[in-house]
Amino acid sequence: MPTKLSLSSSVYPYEDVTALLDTATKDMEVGQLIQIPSFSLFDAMCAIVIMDPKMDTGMVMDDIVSRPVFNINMRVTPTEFIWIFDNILIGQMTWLSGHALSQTLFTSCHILRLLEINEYDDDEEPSGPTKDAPQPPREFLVAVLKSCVLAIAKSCSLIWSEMRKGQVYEEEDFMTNKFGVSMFEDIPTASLVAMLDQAEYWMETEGTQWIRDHCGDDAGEILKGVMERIDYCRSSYMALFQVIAPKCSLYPQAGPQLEAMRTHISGLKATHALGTKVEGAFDHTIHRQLVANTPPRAIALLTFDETIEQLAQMCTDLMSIGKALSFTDTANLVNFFILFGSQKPAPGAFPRSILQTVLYEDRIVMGSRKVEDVVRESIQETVSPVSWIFDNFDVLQAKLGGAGNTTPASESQLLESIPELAEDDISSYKLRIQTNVVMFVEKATKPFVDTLQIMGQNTSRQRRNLRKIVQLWETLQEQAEVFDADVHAVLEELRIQQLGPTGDEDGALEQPAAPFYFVSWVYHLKLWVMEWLLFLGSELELYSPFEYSMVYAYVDSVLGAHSQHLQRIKSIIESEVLEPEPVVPIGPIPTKETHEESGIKETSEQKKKKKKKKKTSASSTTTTTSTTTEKVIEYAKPKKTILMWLYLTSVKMQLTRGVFLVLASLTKAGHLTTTPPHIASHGLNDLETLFAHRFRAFRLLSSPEALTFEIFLSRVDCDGLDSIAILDYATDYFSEAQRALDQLLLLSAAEAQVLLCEDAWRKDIKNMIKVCIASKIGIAGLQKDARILELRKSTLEAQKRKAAASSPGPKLTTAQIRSSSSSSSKASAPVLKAPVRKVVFEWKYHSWWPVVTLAPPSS
Amino acid sequence: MPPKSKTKSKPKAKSGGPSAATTTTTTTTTTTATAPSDSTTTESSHGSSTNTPATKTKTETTSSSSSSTVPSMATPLPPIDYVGYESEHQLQGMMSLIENDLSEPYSIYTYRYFLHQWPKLSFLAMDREKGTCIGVIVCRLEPHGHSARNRGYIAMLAVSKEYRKRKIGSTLVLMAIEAMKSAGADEIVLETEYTNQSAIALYQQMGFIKDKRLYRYYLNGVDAFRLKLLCKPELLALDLAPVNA
Ligand SMILES: CC(C)(COP(=O)(O)OP(=O)(O)OC[C@H]1O[C@@H](n2cnc3c(N)ncnc32)[C@H](O)[C@@H]1OP(=O)(O)O)[C@@H](O)C(=O)NCCC(=O)NCCS
Repeated sequence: MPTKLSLSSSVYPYEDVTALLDTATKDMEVGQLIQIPSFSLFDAMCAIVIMDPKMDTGMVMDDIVSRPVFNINMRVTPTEFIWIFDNILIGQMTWLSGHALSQTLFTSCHILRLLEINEYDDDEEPSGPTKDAPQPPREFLVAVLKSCVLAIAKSCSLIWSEMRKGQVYEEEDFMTNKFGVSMFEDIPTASLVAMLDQAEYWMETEGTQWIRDHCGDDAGEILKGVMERIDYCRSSYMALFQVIAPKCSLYPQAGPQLEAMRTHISGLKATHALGTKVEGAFDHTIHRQLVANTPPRAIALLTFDETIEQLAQMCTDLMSIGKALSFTDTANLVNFFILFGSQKPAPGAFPRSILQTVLYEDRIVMGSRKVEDVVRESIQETVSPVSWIFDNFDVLQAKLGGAGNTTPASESQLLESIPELAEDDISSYKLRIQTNVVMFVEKATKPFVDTLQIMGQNTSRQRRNLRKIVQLWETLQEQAEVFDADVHAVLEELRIQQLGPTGDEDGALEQPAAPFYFVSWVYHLKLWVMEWLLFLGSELELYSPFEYSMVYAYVDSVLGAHSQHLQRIKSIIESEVLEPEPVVPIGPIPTKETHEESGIKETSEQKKKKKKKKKTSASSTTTTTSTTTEKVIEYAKPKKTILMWLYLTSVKMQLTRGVFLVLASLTKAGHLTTTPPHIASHGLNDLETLFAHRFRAFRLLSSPEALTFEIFLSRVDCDGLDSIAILDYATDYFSEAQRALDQLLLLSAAEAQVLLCEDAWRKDIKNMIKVCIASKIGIAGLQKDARILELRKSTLEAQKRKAAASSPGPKLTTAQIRSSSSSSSKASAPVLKAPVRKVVFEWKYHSWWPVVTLAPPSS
Repeated sequence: MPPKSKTKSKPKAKSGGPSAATTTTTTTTTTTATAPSDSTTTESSHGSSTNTPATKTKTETTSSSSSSTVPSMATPLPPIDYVGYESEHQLQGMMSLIENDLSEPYSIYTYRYFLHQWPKLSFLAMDREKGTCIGVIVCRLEPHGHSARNRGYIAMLAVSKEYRKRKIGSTLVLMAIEAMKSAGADEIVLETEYTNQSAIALYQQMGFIKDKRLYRYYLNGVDAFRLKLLCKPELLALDLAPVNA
């Protein structure tokens, strides 16, 4: 129960044990300690050093005692109201940005002692500088200020009830401790609205008149300032009320309120300067009286401008969540979550919590769709399974127990019930598959929802929790294999039933490879989670420069596996003979072939080498290169979701590989190292250990095949190419990526499936384009570096020497190039004389890919 | 350093009983290791144990190490003694040194928590002439997590302002690492504000990596990095629990 603050007397009886302790400790030597084993670090840090003014927050300080108590019933002028209001707002937003109520909102005397504001008690004298000025009517205090303060307090209480759900992290994201202080939960919303109405009515009549009579030239502005604040209070309270209503029942109505709130926020900003300070209205020592065991820490309140900025951002975020409620399909929803979670600056803790609440409540997604439907749709969009496997989905799912009360018993019951449902053998086979599908979808809801939920967490937590999410998908993948095997078995029986047991030659040829629907879907999402996890390491600045090449090689290999996988899904879908379905076309997947025709000047020799290289070091991802020009009229078409994923994943891989190749070339030239002396200086770490440590979350996964340390080393070597040649490849990758990204920008929001987050999506694409452009410019500079040129010379000389020595003819075979170059680079790195330069990593374009350059040579 | 005590108020009189348990008397050992230091030589002086594969060192630049930061030769360094923690008598000096660098004070119990349980894992750097404590490191070593690894933890490190950039901090960290390793540490961790460039650079030179970022770890709202040093790489291979919390 909320207790009223009693500042003066303690109700607890106490006994002074100082003397007792003094006697008892006489026998102890200095340095002896009596300690209960359970006395933890936490206890130690919370311990109070009684009567030490720094460490005993409960100690009543003389200056606090002697200070006059703020007169809560002191009348306020309209401009004083503006000042008080704005500072309370600062307190609210500072609280929302993660600080304690005791140091923010509760520093306002009007918040803490609101109910002491007395309507009829009108006998006190004005004080201070206002003495000579005309007394403002009491209504500015008792009608206007009181109702507005109440509105803010109650808004905060709504926010508090959301934050108590524990979707964001206590202390880290937010502090919910109310210190037992009431936020007027028991005053009904209707009363608040009535009070605000009354304030507004009074303002429109007498208030306006008074301001006109007494405020001179500023009257118009002051009037506006007061009215804006009343209006802001009403719309912000109503908006929050609707946003927070259970099961999103009122969220759709919140849109207009949030819009209004945002308009009033600019009104607040425009009139803020009119405020007049009220001495004593905020007590920044209140923390001492509310909390006993922790010293107050220096906190910086937000400035008013920051307050306004964050408020407006909060409105925008809540509005975008509101719009997402009416999502058309899962692909758009998933994209919305991805882009919401990667906004910069990150959304505040409150919208992040709302996002998670709205996503999933009582097995309902976004307040309207059954979670099973959403998962089913995701599977359909991704792997386009034969359509009948989802027939009867709703019926079977209802049988299975609908609202999530799946038990093994109900599953087996369901299976038993099949014969009665079935009309003939075929449909009974189909029914068995359909039942499996229902059960699989049920199993998949947790990983699916949990993954989206992560977007509502702070980025540090995202990364830490994604490691667990990878495991969830891994486990589901194992289960998916069983389901797929079952599906295959039944499909096979179906085929035999239809075609007879002896498949004739033609039939055997036509029979496509059985599609692994479930595994494919799961594996796709698992790979995506892995990529995201690795990129977050960059975003959170966890990697040191010497680790970058290892990290980007690893990300490259995961992205490679991913685009290969997506390509495979696409091919399988295309191989299925089905009635065609109209699909919005998007440009062809960027291919290696197209980039070779690009305007980059290459000698034929370079091209030859390039081909060679693609087969070796770039091997894991060659499948992205398949052409897409074949006619697919009579075949099923993959849904655009899978095409978009394939497209974007390929682009990310090109960017990643571009970055990796730049790093590799700088490593070769000795500007960068993967083994700085310090990592081994104390015999503690080496790169291989770090490699194992950094990627340990993936080491035990069944797939994809992990990049090993040895393969990483050979990748860095790049087949013995010299830095300039490696940089040429890097340029190609950046050009390719840029071209593909330019194509993406041509898509409409509907085509790109970003209807709910188009702006953020375009911005992200543009940022990637900037990385490409800046990298290409950077590379041009790198290719003039003295060391890199020197390396080229010595590599060419070594090759010539090798060629002259070993081959009789003038023609070089690729095998020879390969053997000569790799041996030269492995065995004896050439000694370069040109100076080593400092490597510069520029993250300003995108937090996932740096632009890598060299600092000007120090002369 | 650990986060300043958070507000999560614990019931004060919880573990009820009057069970005044163990007295821990600090046994004192003078680990007076005269520093390899006081020298103003740059780099390599702190390589105490296994030295570096010298082959590639010429080509280093990425870390700031090459931008030679030779401390001003003008003020010759007073001799520094490195001593182990011995007794409560040293506590005041240690506390005032650390408090100088922290906005908020730790209670004396926090110091005692570490110093009484792991006295051998704390070291002081003393100005021999003045007899004052000018550098300090405080650590802990405990089994951690479900794998029950021995996790060393550097709780506090500080060097007095006038004595910085002279490898005193590095020397203290090295002494602590060696002490924790010989006491069986599998890994060593610590947290530091993500903006604390000097501390991060120092630890990275010792082989620590940034293992995690901790959002708003300190109550002033600043993120922390958890830095980690792997002492026994072999363990990684054995660790079958893929995800630790
Ligand atoms: C961190 C601290 C202990 C370093 O002590 P120190 O004796 O100056 O450190 P060292 O002389 O051993 O420095 C070793 C390396 O750290 C790095 N470093 C130290 N101070 C640095 C600074 N101001 N800027 C950049 N790097 C710095 C350098 O890489 C240096 O190596 P170099 O001299 O070869 O360039 C000291 O700055 C300090 O007390 N800071 C305040 C308390 C604190 O932050 N503690 C850590 C919290 S866990």
